[in-house]
Parts: sequence; C-alpha cells; structure tokens
Amino acid sequence: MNSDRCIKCGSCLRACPVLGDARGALFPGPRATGVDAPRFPERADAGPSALMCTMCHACELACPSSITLTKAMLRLRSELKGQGPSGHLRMRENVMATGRTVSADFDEWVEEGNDILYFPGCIGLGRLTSMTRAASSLLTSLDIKHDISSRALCCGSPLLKVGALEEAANVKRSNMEVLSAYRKVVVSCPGCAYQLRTEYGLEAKHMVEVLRDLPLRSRAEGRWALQMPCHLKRGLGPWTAEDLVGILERAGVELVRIPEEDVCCGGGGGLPSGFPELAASMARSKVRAYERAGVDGVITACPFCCLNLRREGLRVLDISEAVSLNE
Amino acid sequence: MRKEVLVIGGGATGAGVVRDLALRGADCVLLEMGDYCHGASGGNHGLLHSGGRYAVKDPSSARECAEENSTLRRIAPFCIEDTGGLFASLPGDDPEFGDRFERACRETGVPVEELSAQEALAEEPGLSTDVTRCYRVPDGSVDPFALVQANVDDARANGATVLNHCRVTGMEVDGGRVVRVDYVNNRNGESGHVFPELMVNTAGAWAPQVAKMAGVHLAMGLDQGSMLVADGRHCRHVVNRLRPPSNGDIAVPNHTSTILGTTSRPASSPEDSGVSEADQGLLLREASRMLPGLRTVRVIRSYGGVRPLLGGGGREASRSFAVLRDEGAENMLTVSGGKLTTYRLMAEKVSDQACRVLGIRAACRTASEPLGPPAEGGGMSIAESRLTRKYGWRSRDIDTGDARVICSCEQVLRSEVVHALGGEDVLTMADVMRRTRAGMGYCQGMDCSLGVLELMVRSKGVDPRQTLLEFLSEREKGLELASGDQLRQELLRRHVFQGVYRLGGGA
Amino acid sequence: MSRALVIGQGAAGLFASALLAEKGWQVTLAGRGAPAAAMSTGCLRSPPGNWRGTLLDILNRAGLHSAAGRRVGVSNLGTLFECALAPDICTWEEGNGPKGLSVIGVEGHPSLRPCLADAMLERQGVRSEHLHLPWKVPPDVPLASRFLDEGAWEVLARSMKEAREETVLLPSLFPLSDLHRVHWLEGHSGRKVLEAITPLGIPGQRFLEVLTGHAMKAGVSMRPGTRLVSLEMEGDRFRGAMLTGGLETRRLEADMLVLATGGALPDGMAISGRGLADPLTTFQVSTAGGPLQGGYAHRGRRLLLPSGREAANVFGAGDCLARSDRGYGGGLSEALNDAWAAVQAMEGP
Repeated sequence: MNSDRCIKCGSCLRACPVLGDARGALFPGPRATGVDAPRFPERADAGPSALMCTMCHACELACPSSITLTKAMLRLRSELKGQGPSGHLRMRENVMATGRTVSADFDEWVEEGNDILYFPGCIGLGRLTSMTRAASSLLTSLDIKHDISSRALCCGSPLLKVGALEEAANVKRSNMEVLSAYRKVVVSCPGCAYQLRTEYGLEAKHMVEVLRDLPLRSRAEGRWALQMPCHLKRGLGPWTAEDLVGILERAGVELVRIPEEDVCCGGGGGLPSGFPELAASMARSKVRAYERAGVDGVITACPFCCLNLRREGLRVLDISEAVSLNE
Repeated sequence: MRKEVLVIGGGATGAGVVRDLALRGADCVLLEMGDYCHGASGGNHGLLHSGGRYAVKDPSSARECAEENSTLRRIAPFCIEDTGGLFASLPGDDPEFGDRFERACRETGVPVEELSAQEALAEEPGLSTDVTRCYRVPDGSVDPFALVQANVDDARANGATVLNHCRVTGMEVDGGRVVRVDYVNNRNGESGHVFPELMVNTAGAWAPQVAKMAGVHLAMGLDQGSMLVADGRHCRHVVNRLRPPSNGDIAVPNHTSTILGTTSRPASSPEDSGVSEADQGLLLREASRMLPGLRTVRVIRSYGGVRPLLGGGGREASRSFAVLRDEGAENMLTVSGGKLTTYRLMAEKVSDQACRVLGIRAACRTASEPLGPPAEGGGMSIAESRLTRKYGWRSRDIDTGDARVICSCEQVLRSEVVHALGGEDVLTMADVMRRTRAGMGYCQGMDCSLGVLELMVRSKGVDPRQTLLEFLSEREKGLELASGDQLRQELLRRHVFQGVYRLGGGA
Repeated sequence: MSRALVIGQGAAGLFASALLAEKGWQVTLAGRGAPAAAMSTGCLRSPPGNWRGTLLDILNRAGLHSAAGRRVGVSNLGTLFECALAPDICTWEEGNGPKGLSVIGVEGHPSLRPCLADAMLERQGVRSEHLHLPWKVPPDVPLASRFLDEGAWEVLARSMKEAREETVLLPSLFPLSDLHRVHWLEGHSGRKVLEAITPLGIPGQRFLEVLTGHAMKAGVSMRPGTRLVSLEMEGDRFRGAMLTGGLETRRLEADMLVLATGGALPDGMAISGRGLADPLTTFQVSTAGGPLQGGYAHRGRRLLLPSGREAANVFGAGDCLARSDRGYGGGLSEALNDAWAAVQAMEGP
C-alpha cells in the first residue's frame, strides 16, 4: 500500500461521485478512508459511513500519486468483522443460506455439458432474469452453445466489498468445482468478469468481449445514451469500454454521448443494499443528466447499473437486450 | 514589575525552574524570547533517556538519566510513550562493546537486559536480520512541547507570571547585582521591566549572551545536531546502535513519525542549527542499516538543534550540568549544560540554591506533584488517548462533539485549534502547531495553514499576511532538502502559496 | 492518414491533440487522467502567443466566456491575482474592478474562508465585508454538492441580497454545467458575482473539461485511465508503445509520439532523490534548475536520445520539458504554448 505518497491535492475528493452527491456528506471520503485510516486506527473505526463507497475507482484514477485507494477501501472493509449496515448483513445471510447474495428467481437451467458456461451472477438470477434470458438467447442465436448451471454461486465480488472474506472464500471453493469444468465462462456483469479473472484465474469474458466482432443489428429504436459501467471501463479496461460503444454504433444504434455517461450510477460497492437512499440519489442525478440529453433510454453492460437506474424509472437496456444477430 | 525571581529562557530547564519555585511559594516571572522550547528543548529527538547512551562514556549523566527517567514517567505520563528501548549491534560493530555496555549500565543504575537476536527480532520486526547483539533498556519517547507547556501551566496555576515572545534587551547592574532587566514583547512592541531579587539564567545556548548583558563572561560550547522526521512509525521501540556514540545511531518513534538522529558538529552561534545534505544522507544510511524499512521512507522534514555544553563542547563533552555564579552579578545563577531528560533535576538543584539565597524554606515538590494524567488505560479510546497525549488534563476542555478535522495529516480536530487559541501563549501559527501538531504532518501545513489562519483571524485578529508568511518560512526551513514524494509535496505547496497566492519564497 | 500518439491528458496534451487532429492527423490521446492542470486555477498567468484567438474561441464556444489582456481576480485567500487570460466570472479588466467586495462562503471550508479573505482584502486596501452561509460542511466535502439542493441556491441568493457591496466574492461553485447559475444568482440578488480564483478546486477541472470536449469534437480518440508502460524505438525513430489500463495491455503503433506527461508533481517525471529521471529510461533529462525547471532535454521541442541525437518523431510539450525560466504557478500558459509550438514544428500528417 502506497498511501504515504499522498500530497494532499484533494483530486480524489473532487472525483468522488459520493461526495459529489447531496446525500454523500456523511461519507468520510477517499482520502480519509484510503490515506488517513491506514495511519490512524481511530479513523478506521469510523463506522458504517466509511462504507458509503461504490468502488467506482474514480478516486484512484484522479490521484497524481497513483495511490491504490480502492485496495485501501477493500482492506478497510475486510477489517470490519461483521459490522456494517443491515442490508450488508442480509446479503451475508443470503449467501450462507443459498450461496447467492440474492435468492434466485430463475429455473431455466441448462446443464448439457457444453464447454462454455453463461454465468448470470446473483442479480442476473435474482432480479434481472430478463437480462439472463436475453443474453442466453442472443448467445444461442450466435451459435454459442452454453450451459447455465444451477450450481454456480455468487462469484464473491459483492462479498469482498462488504468485508465477508470467509463467505467469499467458501463460494469460491464451491464455484471452482463447477466452473473449472468449462473452457470459457461468459458473464454479463463486469464485476463477475473481474473477479473470475483475477481471483479465480479463469478465462472469463464479458458479453462485450464476446459480441465485439460479431454481426449484430440494433433492437433499440430511437436515441440512446450510455451508462458506462465503472467496472467495465476502470475495472476490465478502457479498450473493452470502447468496444461497447463500437458494438452499438456498428449495429446501428443512435448513440448520444454525454460526459456524464462515465459517472458512477451508485449501483456498486454494496451501496444499494447498504445505503439505499444514497444509491437512489446518485441514480437520480444520472437520470436528470439523461433527461437533459433528451434520449429515449440508456444502454448499459452491467446488471447493477441496470437495476439501480431502472429503480428510478429510467428505461434501461442491457447490451444483450439492445442488439440481435444480423442475419 | 518587582519579583523575587526572574527566570530567563523558557526551555525545559527554565519552565522546570519557574514551576519548582512557584510550588515553593516564590514570586516569579519567566521571560522567553520565542515560544517555549525555542532552543535545544525544541530541537532534539524527543528521547526519554534510560541512560544507556551515556553509561559507557559519561557515567554521571547516565546515573542522572536513570533516576529522572522513572521520576518523569511518574509525574508526566501523558506526554511520554513507553516504547522501551533497544540497543542493537550489526556486523562490523565492535563485538565486545556489548559487554562494556552492560557492565556500565549496571554500574550506573540503568536497568538492562540482554536479548537474543531472535528475541530482538520478535519484539522489533523491523530490525535488521543481521543484528548480532541486543539489549533492552527503559528508553521512552517524550513530547517536549507538551512537557514544557505542562510545567508552564502548573507554574501559572501556582501564581507565576510566564511570558513567551518576550525578549530581554538589556540589564542594569549596580554594585555587582543585576537590579533591572528590560524586555520587549516581540508581537506588540511593548516594553517592560523587571526588578528581580534573583535571576536564573536558563537561556541554554543563549546563556552567554544573557550573561554578557550582566557583564559576566560565560564559557560555553555549542554543538549542532541534525535530525530527520521520517513519515510513519517504523519501530515500536527507540532503537539505538550498540557501539560507541557516533552519528546516526538512534531512531525514536514519536506520534505519527520516526525521528532519525543524530549528528554532532561545532555550532558558531545558537542560530547555527542548519542541516546539511551530507547529514541527511548519513542519517538515512545509518538508520536504514538498523531498520532496513527506512530505505524507502518518505522524509518529511529535517531540523537541527544547538546543544549548550559545559566547557568546550564537542561529542566528548559531558552532558551533565552545572550551576554557576559569578561575582560580577552575584544575584544571577546560570545553568549550563544538561539535557531534556534531566530538566527536573537541574531545575531542582538551581531552585534549591535560589531558595537558599531568598530564604525560602519549602522543599522541592516537583518529583511528586503530577503534571498530567496517564494517556492510556481506564477504557480510553484511541482518539481520547491521542488528545490526552497532547493536552494532559486539558484534553477534557476540547469539544469532541464537532467532528471536523482541520489537519488530516495529523488528525487534529478543529476544536483542538480553537482550544489552543484560547491560551495566552498562542500568538503565532507555529505556537498553534507546537501545541496541536497541526502542520507537523506530511503536507507540512499546505492543507491546514489556511484553516488555522482563519481561526486565528477570527479569535485574535492577527495580520493574516504576516502571520502566514512567518509560518510558511518557518516550515520551509526544514524542507530545503526535500526529496522523493516530499519534493513533489513541496512543489505543490509552492505552486499554491508562491504561484497562486504570491506568498513566500522570493516572490 | 498518419497516426499520432499523445501521452498526457493535461493542458498540453489536450491542446496538442486537438491541433494535430485539425491538421489531419489520426490522434489517440492516452493518459492516466491526473494532470497538474486539474490542480491549477484555470487562468493563464502569462500572455498567450499566436494561439490566443484559438484558445478564446474554444473557451467561449464551450460557454466559459473568457478574455485576454491585463486581468485581475481575487483568490480564495483574498489575495489579488493578476493574469493574462481568464474567465469573465472570476476576473475583471485591470482598472475596471469593483470598489468593494462582500465575501460570502462557509466558515471553516477550504473553498473560501470569508473572514480570512475579508481580513486579507482590507490589508490590500480593498473595502470588504464578510458573510457566512448558515451551514457546517466537512472540509473534505466539495461545497458544490451542497448546491445540488435547489434550496441552497435560494439561501445563497438571499445572503447575497444582504451584501453591502455591489460585487460578491463567492467560492467556486460553477462547473461547466452550472455556469448558468451565475446569471440566476445575479438576477435573484441584484449583485454581481465574482468567482474566487481557486487552486485545487473546480476551475482547474473546468478548464480541462473544455479542452477535453474540444479534443473529442476534433475527433481525437481518447483512452483515459491508461498508463504508458514502455516505448519501442528503432534507432532514433519511435515505432510503438505499450499502454496498460484496467486489466488490459495494448500495443499502439503510431508515426509520431508527443509526450505531454507533466513534471514531477503529477508523476510525469520520475524523482530519484532530489533529481529527475525519465520514467521511460529512453530520453535525455536535463536536471539544471532542479526539479521545477528540469525535464526532457530538447531542441525545438524534439526530445533527445541519450546519445545527444534528436529523436526523429518524438516531441514534448508542457511541464515534462526542461525550461530554465519556469516559475511556480505559471504552468498553464507555458503548457499551451509548448503544445502550439510543438505542433508547428511537426511535419504534416
């Protein structure tokens, strides 16, 4: 950890979308959690408000000293030992009971021994089953045969975000038995992709990476803006983020680019379950920006973004719902 | 003003004397030309000596330190961190020195215990794995500013007048006695006079200059020592090099940093405290040999202190002290030599002599009257402990309900600064800094100076430009040798203050 | 079409990329996105060169109406600030300034400290007073977030109405998207708004936002959040670069490289001890004048190889270049000037 490189420029504070939200004033901020807390034990004791972070990486990107602020935030969370908002506690209880942060509302399993697995993730199985169906049928139409395994549990990424290290290790163990049988895993969630690649060492591809060079056409009539997922652009990488744009443009989607597309929507880091009012407030800011742009809806490539923005009444399509095979 | 005793010099010794005398009922006043700890008391490595460093070469000093170490822990626990101390030798150091060291410690009453290299590494994981021999002694880390302020506060509580920022400008001597002392208040230009029955010259490195005003020649050696402030605490104990005293042989954990020391060269004047680039290199190199983690440490600041030494000075001079009296000014007692750890003893000795002269019969009580509470235990939270370390009993007066932090490098609360500004001694930003630590952290005041200045303008109506410029140049003194990330910090600091606000530098 | 790779998304990099794209180059601009310009006041201290009209055009079209000349502003400390090109909302033409200022802000917040600025102004002979907004805002929280609540603007307007002076000095609350608030406040209060010149705040980011928008419109391909890992040189010719971002590493080939990576402050130049070094260990670094003035050695902004030969197709712009007259606080004008001069020195695509 390199938090001793800090030169107090405050760039991280100005980049933070939580501090920039009207409801974020209780959040100590990236500097307090990433630089002060490691040096001052009483700061680490700051209580649940230190968790009001969406893990969007904007602070880390803005830091001229390249301080690993996200790692510091994760470290803080791992030291929580069970403290935290009630929503996080519920998440852990769900995992203990079902292996997923949210109980599955899906049963169209495909267990045919294909060598590719489509991994919907907790949100895909529990809250956005429409996205899961859309992704699966899109893959099928593109001749990408795949399983959807009932034994695939939470990837563990949300658990790390709330400091549930043991639960994350448990699901990883169970998952490895299932996932290692496949040659490739395809996901709709950039968080899952990042987790499966870095923590599991698996060949995990996000839908954007799968769809990149395929012949597609638009299913999205009208004018659309982008919700650029934080964990796609800053997690997986800026080239994959550009590929999302490329896929949509080549498919003929009328894309309206606005600077706010990159701003975190408030859907990540355990925010919607831990601090729902803050997550909603951040989502509303994005909705206002999209309204100003005068678009018919928003396309994204992350189930957390999709869910959080839909909750504020915005019309949101996942990438798998926005395109189809161009025969 | 007419007083029984005038003490000149508000370092540890002077503050100790005025407290001692006040407790014995003497009517006294202390004049300090800067802020307390202006001299060597504010330019040392904050070591509460066990005596180990003197056992071999300076046994009388070692004995004094060993005794006072436990006395100070008893009366001023709040400002002392019980870090313990280690003496460790590395390959290349005289392998027999350890035996001489141990023997000398036992002879001088310094508690000492040998540790195996394994035990040493278990207790101090950052220690070099090359460590050959190791001894444990009861060294500690002390905050001299908090210690001296506590003496000042107690002196005032017992009726003494204590004034900082008041410089003695002249004296009238009549019939071999100092009859009048003139002083000027540096902040407002007002002048005053003291008509003392007895004077105690505890002006440290300036003692000869003070003595000269009374027509007395005082021989004194001046010795400069350099120190570095390294960011973060890199050792649990005070770590000393187990070899004959030499440069760069000590590392002292102090609040949020590690002080690396020290060097020794003759100083041409009390102001000749500057640190050279060679000193900085040497201190880092030597300290990194004991604690290899320091190789990549961020050095926040360099500073030096000028030690007043008995007689001719130099590294070989005794660190013991003497009370001198010259017939040219027979009512002036001068304290020469000494060290922070033995301040109370020095003060006791000179106060005993002063009381004999004044006919005061009361005995010294400074070894038993506490200066503050312990900073740990009793279910104290880390935050409470941190406040107690700085303010002793006065930490109760700080409004912890306002959670706003004014200095994030040192986690100083805004209300700490408000509290400090309520004191009569606090007239400059550096005064605030010494008491609260705001501005001592890694950004060296870049972030907090304007916040502190805002509070000073509001409560004391100071001239903001002059006040800020004074502080900026004070901070800049220790940043001339900034390197690595501290150099980047310095570039940003200058961009903001010189580049945007046009303050400081040559601008 | 010839490809140009520009590294560094600060003032120099953004300006150079846009100029190159307008000249017909296919430009990719990569960078970490943590430039020194974000910490700047967004105002040019020294008079701009031939590119003055171009820059003013860019700023005005983005809605950040600015003017060149002898301009004066007031910093968020209350010191007077002289500059040569700056937005209208924070500066006035020398000689045409307000007779007095009412300073309004939140006590204890770094954005603008009213009683301190007031005291500073008085001592510079400016008639002033101060008013505190009725809020306690933690210093790490940007003041602008308080103003997402419409009611906050009302409170501010009311406070401004109580101001004794005609002109009110305010903290910087006006990112590009909220510039219209200035008119709103003036309309609702009958006072003139003067935004405080603020380092480490909104104005620096705002300036960059304008340049970024302009570069994108000019067709520059942006790759934010990328770090330059290594360069491939063939003799004195640049061939390609390895860039990394997120979990990805890609190789980019280009016909020309522009390094606008900044000085030691944003980690563009590596600091070793008290000296500077090229983090890419490819080009000559001059350390004359210390870390402020040191940087890549160059001839007409062409970088030099360790042999002393000029690189065939590598240019530098901004704080990463050695410059013997660089002072504190003057970075923006010089960075833009370098970018302009470097592009003039380059061949066409």
